[in-house]
Amino acid sequence: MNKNEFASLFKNNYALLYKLAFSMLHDTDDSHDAVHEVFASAWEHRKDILPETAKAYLAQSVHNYCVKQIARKTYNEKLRKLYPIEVSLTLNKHEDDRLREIKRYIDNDLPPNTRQVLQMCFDEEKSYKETAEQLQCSVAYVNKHIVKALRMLRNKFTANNKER
Amino acid sequence: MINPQDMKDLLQEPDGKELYQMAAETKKAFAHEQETEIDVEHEWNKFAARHTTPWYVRYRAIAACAALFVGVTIAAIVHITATPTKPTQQSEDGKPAPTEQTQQVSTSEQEMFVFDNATLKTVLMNLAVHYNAEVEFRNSKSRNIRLHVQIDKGLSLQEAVELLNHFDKVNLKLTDNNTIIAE
Repeated sequence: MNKNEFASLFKNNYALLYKLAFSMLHDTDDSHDAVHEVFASAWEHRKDILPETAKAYLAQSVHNYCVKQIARKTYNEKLRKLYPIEVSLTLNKHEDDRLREIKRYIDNDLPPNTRQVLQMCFDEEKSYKETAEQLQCSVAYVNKHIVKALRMLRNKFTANNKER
Repeated sequence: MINPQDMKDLLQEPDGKELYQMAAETKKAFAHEQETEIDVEHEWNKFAARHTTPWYVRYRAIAACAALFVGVTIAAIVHITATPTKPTQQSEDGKPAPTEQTQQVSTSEQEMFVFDNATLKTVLMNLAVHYNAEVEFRNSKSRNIRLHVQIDKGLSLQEAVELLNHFDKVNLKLTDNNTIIAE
């Protein structure tokens, strides 16, 4: 693979790989770094890269890189970033679809109050206390809705997983 | 920022581990939805500058850093003659630069720039006047690199820049709007 081919490989896949990294790391700078690091190592052995498998190879590499980054974090850092405590090196082929389904379920099937609390805590990364203050309710109320939302999601999506 | 204590409380639930794992996936699903405008061209340029430069260019940068780190400015006593018809002048190797600034820039010869122990700044300023170009120093230390060089005025600016790039410590780029960038 010469420099021009490598450049188009980079440009065609950057956005996709960034999205993958961001879904795992939820941090703009860290995600750009992840993609750059992966391309840097790909550049080193660009001679061995086959165009037909390049995309899958890059995606798996970004996944692995992110898993390593997460594994390095301490327990508290994981909780703060809402990273999974255990991460698997296997990249699920249907990961994109699964995440889209989860999001669709949150938008369409959760009761509006529960959805709002979930969004404030997990998307906007507010603490339970901040969320409670903003909604003028108690922290226990926030906690109740979070647990309720997560149980609904768990029942829906881990059951689905077992069927597959 | 998510409060870790909230998540510790969540983990206290009987099915806490599963709930936390689901929470992590929910976070992923939210992040996955987020649309970000990415300037791919910009990312490529950043990448290309850092990684795709040939090894000898990078080596040159390392050599420059090493030289600066040691703090010894040794004039690059290499005469590069652009016109093959003129014989290359040899000079003693490894002669340290004199401590006082002696920049002898002789432009008396009509068709040649002759720089004898001149700083890169002087060299580039003279080129800038001759070629009507701009000069930008990205690294202030590179201004003081001393050179012995002869440049044929008949060369294009691009050729002159390439010629100077043969020096280990010199790393120049010429942009489209006629700016010489010294790194």
